[in-house]
Amino acid sequence: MILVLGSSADSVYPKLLSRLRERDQPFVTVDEDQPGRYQVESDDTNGQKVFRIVGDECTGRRPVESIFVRHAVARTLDPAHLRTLGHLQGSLNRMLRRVTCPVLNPPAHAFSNYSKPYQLELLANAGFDIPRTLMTNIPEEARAFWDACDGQVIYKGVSNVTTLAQVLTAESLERLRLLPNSPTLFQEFIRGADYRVHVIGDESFVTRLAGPNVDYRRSLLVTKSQDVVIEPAELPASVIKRCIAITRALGLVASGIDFKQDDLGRLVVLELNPYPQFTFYEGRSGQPITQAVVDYLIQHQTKNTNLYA
Amino acid sequence: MHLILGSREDVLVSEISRKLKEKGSSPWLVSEADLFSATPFAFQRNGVETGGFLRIQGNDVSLASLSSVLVRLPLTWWPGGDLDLQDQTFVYHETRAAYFALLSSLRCTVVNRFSLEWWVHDLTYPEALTLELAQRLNCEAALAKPDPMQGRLYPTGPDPSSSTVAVYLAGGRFIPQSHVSRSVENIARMSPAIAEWQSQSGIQLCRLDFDIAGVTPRLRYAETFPVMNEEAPEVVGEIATATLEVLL
Repeated sequence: MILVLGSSADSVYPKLLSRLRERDQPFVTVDEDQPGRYQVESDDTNGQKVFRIVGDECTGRRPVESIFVRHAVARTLDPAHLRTLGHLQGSLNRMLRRVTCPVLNPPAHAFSNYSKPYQLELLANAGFDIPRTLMTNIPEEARAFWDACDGQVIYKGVSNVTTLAQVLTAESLERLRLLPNSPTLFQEFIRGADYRVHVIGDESFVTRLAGPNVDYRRSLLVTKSQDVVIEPAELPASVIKRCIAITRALGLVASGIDFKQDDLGRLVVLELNPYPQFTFYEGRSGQPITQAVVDYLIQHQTKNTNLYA
Repeated sequence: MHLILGSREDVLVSEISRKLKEKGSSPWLVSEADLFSATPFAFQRNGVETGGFLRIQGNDVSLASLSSVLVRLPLTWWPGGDLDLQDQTFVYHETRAAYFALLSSLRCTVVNRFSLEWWVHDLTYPEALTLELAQRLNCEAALAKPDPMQGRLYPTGPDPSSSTVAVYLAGGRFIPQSHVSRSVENIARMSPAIAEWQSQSGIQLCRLDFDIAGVTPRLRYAETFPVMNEEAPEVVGEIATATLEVLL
């Protein structure tokens, strides 16, 4: 049986469940939007830690043979809900560190995108080309970087708090005076198409995105996506091989890796998302990514489990 | 050049600073509040090449000039000023993410070279660290039941309970908190296993709490930010000396 941990309000969760039903695959869910309904229990049986999830449709008796995780984000500031959600996710994460069945993706291995410059270090060390990057809270340093890059610079947040990349124009230079309030990431501006590579185990899907804005997510927000071209594409086999290798090296099964390619063919990596919202790309490109996730969860089921739900 | 990120009120910081000065090396000392809200810095990356500086007391201290960094940041900082709560939260994450990347990029000795799990207050991290070490030491773990109300990691001092004894680990040396701690020295002396754990976890300095209520000692907790302000001066002195051996 497959266990799905996530949020029923998320776009990935219902699509995944729908595919699992189509495959007539037994599964059970923990809807984290209802955190008060579930409990994680544990005991020692024959010297081995055994975990049981109970609540809602989870009986704590059926063996779980593979797990899909995409934790819910809090959609309310209600302190009682936040506490219950935090408690449930903490218990689940403790459990996920010790379960013996495959997990797509283990939360403990998914921290690297908290810090974009740290992740760039990992990606550069893995052999990817990365944009020239400056992280600073000093206006003069940012200005010198802008000059050194011939005025072709974008800026965005350092952490994984959502920010959209923007071009640092001559007009916006005066805003650099605000930098002492918070460090910011500056990068040479790579003008060209975006590529998203989804890795699912040994499989990969390349999607090309082209829109009128620097950050295609801005185009999607502003225009509701109609003027962003999203289509299946190809990248060199060596790049794909490296995407699969870095995903595995980080202890992940799946990832969504973002690239930019300029007109001369230079391909630079921007970041790696450990919990990609692959259903969005699939919906526009027609690529069977959810199918690949379901295939992975089915094919990697193990009888050697210490989790029951 | 040595850099200490921590507070003068921290007895370990103060002892290590004193010992460094005795050796003729005045370390740069930057508190958490100053580092996160009042230290201008720049960090550049071009492929695998990096460079940058921290502006400390008006001096641009090149990252390449650092020979060691002692990290004693309790991570209790929160941005203040005129920012609203949403902006405070944003600045909090941006600043921590920035300094994690900066410290991670350093080629010099960093004690402790904390993982991101510590920086983001992953509550499952201490338990995983303790279990990993217990397994390597071939001893049982006696984990405390997690407190569901605790939302972040807090540095702790030694457990005053009579069934718990503590041994400090600094580099390759084990420093018992008291004569009672000597009862677990046999476990703590499994040097190769511990060295491997240190290398993998980045934790050179910690306190190991053992539960001695049973027949054999069980590892209760590996505290990666041991608070020592209540410790005997000679214990702190020994830990400082052993830590310096790693830093120098």
